[in-house]
This record gives sequence, C-alpha cells and structure tokens, in this order.
Amino acid sequence: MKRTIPFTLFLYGLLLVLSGWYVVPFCWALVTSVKHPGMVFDGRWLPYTRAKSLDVGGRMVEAQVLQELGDSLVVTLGGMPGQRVVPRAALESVSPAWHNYTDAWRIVPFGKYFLNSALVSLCITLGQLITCSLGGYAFSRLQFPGRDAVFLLYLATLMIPGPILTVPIYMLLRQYHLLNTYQGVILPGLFSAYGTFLLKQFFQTIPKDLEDAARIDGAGVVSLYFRIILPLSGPALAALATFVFIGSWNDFFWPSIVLTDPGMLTLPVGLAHFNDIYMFEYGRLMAGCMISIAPAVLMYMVFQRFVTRGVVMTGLKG
Amino acid sequence: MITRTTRHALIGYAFLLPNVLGLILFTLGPIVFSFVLSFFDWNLFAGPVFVDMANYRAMFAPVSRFWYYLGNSFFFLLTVPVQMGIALLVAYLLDKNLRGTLVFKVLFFIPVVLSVIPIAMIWGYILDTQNGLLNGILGTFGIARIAWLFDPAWIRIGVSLMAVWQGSAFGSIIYYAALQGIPAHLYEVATLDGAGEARRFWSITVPLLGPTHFFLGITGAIGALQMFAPIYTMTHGMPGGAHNLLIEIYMKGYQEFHMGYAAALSWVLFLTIFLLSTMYWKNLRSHAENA
Repeated sequence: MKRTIPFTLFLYGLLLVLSGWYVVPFCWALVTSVKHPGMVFDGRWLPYTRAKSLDVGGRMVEAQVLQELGDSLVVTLGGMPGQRVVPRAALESVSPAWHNYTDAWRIVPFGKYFLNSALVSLCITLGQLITCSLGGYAFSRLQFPGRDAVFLLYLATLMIPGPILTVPIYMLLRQYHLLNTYQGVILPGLFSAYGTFLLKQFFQTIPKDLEDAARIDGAGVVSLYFRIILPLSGPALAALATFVFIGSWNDFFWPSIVLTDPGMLTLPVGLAHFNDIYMFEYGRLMAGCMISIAPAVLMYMVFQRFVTRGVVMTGLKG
Repeated sequence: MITRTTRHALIGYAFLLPNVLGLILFTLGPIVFSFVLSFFDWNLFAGPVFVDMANYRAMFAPVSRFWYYLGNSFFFLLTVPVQMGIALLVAYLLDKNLRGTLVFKVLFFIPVVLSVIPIAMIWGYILDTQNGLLNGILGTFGIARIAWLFDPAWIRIGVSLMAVWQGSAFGSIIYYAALQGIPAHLYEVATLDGAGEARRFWSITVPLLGPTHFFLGITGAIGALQMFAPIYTMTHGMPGGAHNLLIEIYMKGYQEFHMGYAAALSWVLFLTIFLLSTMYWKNLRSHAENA
C-alpha cells in the first residue's frame, strides 16, 4: 500500500514524540549520574563543575558564589571588597563527575548483589523448568486416576495473586528458620501453575506418532520425557526460562521481605536501600541506577528478538 | 505383582509430585492458613490469640482508613487504559514498517526487562518538587511547582506516570504481535471500498484486537490493584496519599507484625482480584468456544 508523504511525516512525528517520552527520562538520569554533587540541581543538560578560584589579571583569587542569575554569577572575591557579577563560563566548565560511579560502587556492593540476584534467579528458573515440565508432561501425556481433578485445581490457582499469599508463607518460613536465607527466597518460586499450564499446552502440540515410534523401540514413559518431549520443546522451554528469569531478577516484594542481612540482598532490594539512605544525592543514586540496569540493557540488546518472542509466547507479566 | 496400569499411575504421580507439593505448601496451604489467621491476633512475639471477627470489625470500623486504601488501589486502575492507549499507538506505528523501525522497537520495548526499582528512582528524581525535570518543563509554561510526591492530591498521579511509562512497553509488545496476525487483505478490501487510514484503524484494527484489549485490560488491572514497588520506592516507604491496600498489608504485617490483621486484609484484596480473574477466565473460555 502506498502512503502519502505528509502521512509518513505525521507517523515519524508521532514516533519522535513517543521516543521523547521514553528517552528523555533515561537521558536525564544518565546526565545526572555524572553531575557534580553541588551542581546536580542546575537544570542543565550537561554536567558542569565550578572552580573555586577565578583568574583576575593573571592572579588566581578565591571566589565564592553568592547568587546565580541566569547566565551570570554574583561572587565575592577573596581579599577584595564588594560583590561582582561574572559570566558563568568564567567559573564553570563541562566535566563529568565519573567519581559518582566509583562512589556508588563503593557504597553499594553491586558485584555481590549481582551474584546474589544471579544465584536466586538461576535457581528459580532452573527449578521451574524442571517442575513445570514434569507436571506439564504428566497432565498432557500420562493417564492416571485423579489427573483431571488436579489439573482443574491447578487452573483455579492461576487466579490467586501472589502477594496475597505472603503472610502465611512468611510465617511458614519463619517456623523453619528460613527467613533471611536464599532458600527462603527461592523455594516459593520453584513452582508455577502458569508455567505448568503453558508447557502442557505446548507438549500437546507434539505429534503422538513420534512417541509411538519410540515406544516400539522399547522406550518407557520416563525415557519418552527425556528423549522426545524435552528435546522437541526448545522454544517453549526457552520462552518460559526468559520469562521466569526476568521476573525473578526484577522481583522486589518477596526478597525485600525475606532478606534482611545487608550482604545478602538482591539487586533491586539493595538498590532500594541505597535510595532510602542517600535520599537526595541524585548524582550517586542515578549512577547506581545506571550500574544496576546495565546488564539487563546489554542482555536485551543482544537477545532483543528472543526476549520479545518470549514475552509474546508467555504473555504474562511478573 | 504390580499391573501395568498401577505402574503407569505411580509414574504419573511421581511426575506430578513436585508440583503437588508446591501447590500444597505455597498456594493451597497458605490460603487456608491465612483465612484461619485472619481470626487471630498474632504479633510473632507472643502466641496467637483468637479474636473472632475483631480484625474484620477493625477493618470496617469508622476510624479505619480501609476504604481510603481500597480507593487508592482502585485509583491505579486508571493507569490501565492510559498505558493500553500508548501501547496501541506504539504498536500501530511500529507495524507501519517505516525506515528505522528496528531502532524504535528496541527503544520502546526496553522497559519490559528493567526492574521497577531503578525506574521508580529515576522518576522520583524527575518528579522532585524543587529541582525535578517535570516541574522545570512545566515552569517554562508558567505553571507553578507541583509537589508530585508529597501533595496528597498529586501523589497518585505522580506514581501513575511512572507506572504508565514502564507498563506500556509490555502492552506494545503484545499489541505488536497481535497486529501482525491481522490479514493484510482486510485492509486492501477496505481501501478499495474507499476507507481512509483513520476509518481502517477504527473499523478493522481496533475491533480485531478485541481479545488482546481484553487480555491487557485484565492482566493490567490485576497488576494495578497490587501496585507496590513504585509507590514504596518513590515515596521512600512513606506513601502518604498513594497508600493502597498492598502497602497497608506490608505495613501492618511486616512493619508492625499484626499478622492476623494483615491476613484479613489479604483476604479482602484476594476476593477483589479473584472476581476480576474469574471474569477474565470466563471470557477467555467463551472466546475459545466461539473460535
């Protein structure tokens, strides 16, 4: 279908407006992350630094800024009476405060938090792949009494929102001394009615003939699972893994309740603590944000197609 | 001797065992337990005390702010249509396959992999009263500073802005995938009949996306009713006017350790969301049956 030029321009205009809506907050945070502590709130799109002394006729004189007036600064100069107005450019120059990043890295043990998050997310992802594929296989391929009743019960639990169950699970973990342990974060995440349902649906699309052929070769129920079902379910398992990993990597509510030891926090929880303690030090905070989202952004850039396909296939939010 | 059927049944149960254990320990058990717990007063330091309906009475007592919190939970439902609108617009534009679409796609879809915490921190800074970017931009139009995250009248809108920013990415991906399923010949026929771009959009695209609207609407609503991290992070745990039911559960349960009261609140939130989900599954079933 051909498009008129004004219409194409109109579409580009809309795209640009939307890009602004997505990009501006991000760029603003990026600029802020390299702003010097005293200059964070200057509202400019470049990171400036302000010199402590001013060159007056070849002599460096200590300068104290009293007031900011648009492009000018009102200053008093050391050893000289009165105030004078100088252009901003005389005292200020563009220079990124890279030290915000090293400060943030020093205050927040990001390396440790990355590892903690990776450990928790990998365990949950692996665990769900195992439990969901086992369950999906049982529901789609095996015959035994009570199967459909259990499946209906399973479907019903899909409607139960996660955070509602936290109070009893918290007390259960407390009873078994699992609070403030990784097991406490991981265990409740190992099972998913949704993942089981998803894999069951996928397994049902695998032709039965393949299994019949393998069965003639003497394969039992267990080896069919390993030799036929799992190898043929690559895309579905990958989609589920992507979805579960992103969800548990970003999860906040549950780890923030279970984990209290500062050294054991996951990345989002550690970052939230940093945010609460260094409340208005936006330079460092934004540097911390950038560090924390860098891996996700990089992974996304590399696996963009893969991630979007996973989101569409699983079609559910964390 | 074990017969073939029994052996098969045993294998079947073995395959299902981990799931059933998980189901009992972390779903069914907790539901029953939280129901029982909601009739007790239990602060974790002393043993549980049976209090009958006291937790529920306290919840609905005139001094209780329960209705206010519930109202706030529902307020965030307003983010759902907004983010769906933005998502549909994004998907529609991407589907036009203009030059450079790939770059825009990466850009628009990226928030879906990002954690809520850094996003909420960035938005907290943008919405800062004195020095925030948004007040700066509004200031150039002569609009007075708004205390986005402190003024009770604005705080819910401040939080919603961030929720929409992040939430629309998910919708964009889903809408984009759904748009590609609409057969091109429908548009061609409509064009031959003289339908313009706007007419094609409203008469073909929007109605054919029916199931997708519904899916995003319900999942969005369930998510919005349980909003937690954005509120908690942007307000540093002092939610003020954005205090919703889940925040209240968190405060009562994990800050003040009134586990019984928190369980009672959970049940009310559970029933609310359950009603919504039932609607969703019912509708999904009827869609599947009609198809």
